[in-house]
Amino acid sequence: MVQNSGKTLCPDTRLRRINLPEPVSVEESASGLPTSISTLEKGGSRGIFPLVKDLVAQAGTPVSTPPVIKTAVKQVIISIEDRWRIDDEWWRSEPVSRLYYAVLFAAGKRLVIYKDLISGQWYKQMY
Amino acid sequence: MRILGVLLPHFAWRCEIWRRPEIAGRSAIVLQSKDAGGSSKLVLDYSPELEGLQRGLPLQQALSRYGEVELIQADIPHYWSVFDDLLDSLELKSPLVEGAELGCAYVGLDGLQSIYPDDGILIKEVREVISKNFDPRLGIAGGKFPAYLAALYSPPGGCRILTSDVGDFLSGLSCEVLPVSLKSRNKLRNFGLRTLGQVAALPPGPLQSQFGPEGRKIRELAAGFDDTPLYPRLTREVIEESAVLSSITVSLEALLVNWEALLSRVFMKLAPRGMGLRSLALWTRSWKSEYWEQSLRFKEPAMDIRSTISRIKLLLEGFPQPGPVERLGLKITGLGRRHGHQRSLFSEVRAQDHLMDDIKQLETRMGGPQIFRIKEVEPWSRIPERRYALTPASGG
Repeated sequence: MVQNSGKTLCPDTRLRRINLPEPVSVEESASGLPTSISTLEKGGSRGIFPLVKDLVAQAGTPVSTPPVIKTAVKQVIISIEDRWRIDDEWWRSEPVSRLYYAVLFAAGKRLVIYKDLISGQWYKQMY
Repeated sequence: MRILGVLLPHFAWRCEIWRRPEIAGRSAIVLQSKDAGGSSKLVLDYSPELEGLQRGLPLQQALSRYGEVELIQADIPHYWSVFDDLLDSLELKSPLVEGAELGCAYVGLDGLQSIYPDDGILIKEVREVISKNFDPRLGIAGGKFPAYLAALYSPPGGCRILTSDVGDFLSGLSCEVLPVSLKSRNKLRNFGLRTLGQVAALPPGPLQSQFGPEGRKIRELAAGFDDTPLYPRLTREVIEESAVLSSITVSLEALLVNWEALLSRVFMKLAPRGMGLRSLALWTRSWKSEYWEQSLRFKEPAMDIRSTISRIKLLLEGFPQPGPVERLGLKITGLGRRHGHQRSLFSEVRAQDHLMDDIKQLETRMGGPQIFRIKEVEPWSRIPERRYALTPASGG
């Protein structure tokens, strides 16, 4: 097994990675397909399930800046438009194995999510 | 093509007398330096009574003939200044005036018949604009060379007009008057050809075989035919500035300071018109009346003093002064406008520099990079977060 030195990803330490995957809460059907997603949305509680309000203070935010209020929003998936799998770096200690879904919500919004087949965690990511 | 030849014999010497009347009546030789160092002197002009001297004769030879003469260092800028004024006056009479050399001018007469119906009127008008101090000799002929000879052999205060008798007039003149190379003149003498009439009588073939292309020219001139065109003066603006130094100096810096002062005057005149210097002539006069002159040409017009002075400094280092300088000046001989330069279509470099300074100040104040630009890392990667990354905009 080859140790992941990280050199392939960011050889320059001054580089800051972007488009990192963001964890989301996904409800799955019996066949393992995503049916709904709960995400934290900025702004007022206009969602269908305004259940949780928490203050997410960003690290390093000046004291005078008002805290950002995020609300948990559950969105139902009406269709899965595309699906693809990525298996990469299987020779390393942390291989990549993802199953991507391009999903469409009832409100007409499109989103790309994937399930990490190693950890079982769901993420959203621009593809 | 009818041409009036205007000859001012001993022009340099007469200029000196006009400036310093006290030397009138004395035998004098006007000298010019052969090289920049001024070590070798040649005769430029002399007073009329010193027969046998000629222009270009080394000073030693001249002194061997006439030991008791006054030696005057030539002031070429002054002579040309006087001569230019004289040409300006001649241009009041005819638009076609050529200053061939110091003391020799040609005036085109074609088309002036309606203004001057008679040659006598024309000559009278011309004489009125030339000072009598210069003892002008005038001659009219169908070409420059015969007009020159007509003026040369005209009586003082008179004028010789050559028409159909030009052949007879030239036939008795010496071949030494021909404006050809010294080698050709010596060759003519060696062939026993003493007069222009003898040369004109020869068929063109043998002359060409002996003298090459110059042989044909020699025969034509000897026959009184000269088709050399008249080159009228071009109207151009000339700016002249000069200064007398408070004390004589050999210091390069002192000379540059004085030239800088003169240039500032020039640029004050040029700046409002958006003009720059295309070419200029620098001159100095040493305390021993040595004359030094050099010309400068600019590939692109010089628009400010700094760029001009840097070129002048290089020139002065390459061509040293013949002695301590007491007077200097410059003559702007060419003006030009600034060339167009293509600039960046997008943002100006200076604005970019200012932006970069602001970004660095922000980093210093916040303790780390705050502004980033997107950089491709592995754009081909199937894993999205590995395709692009942020890098500090300041590059630090």
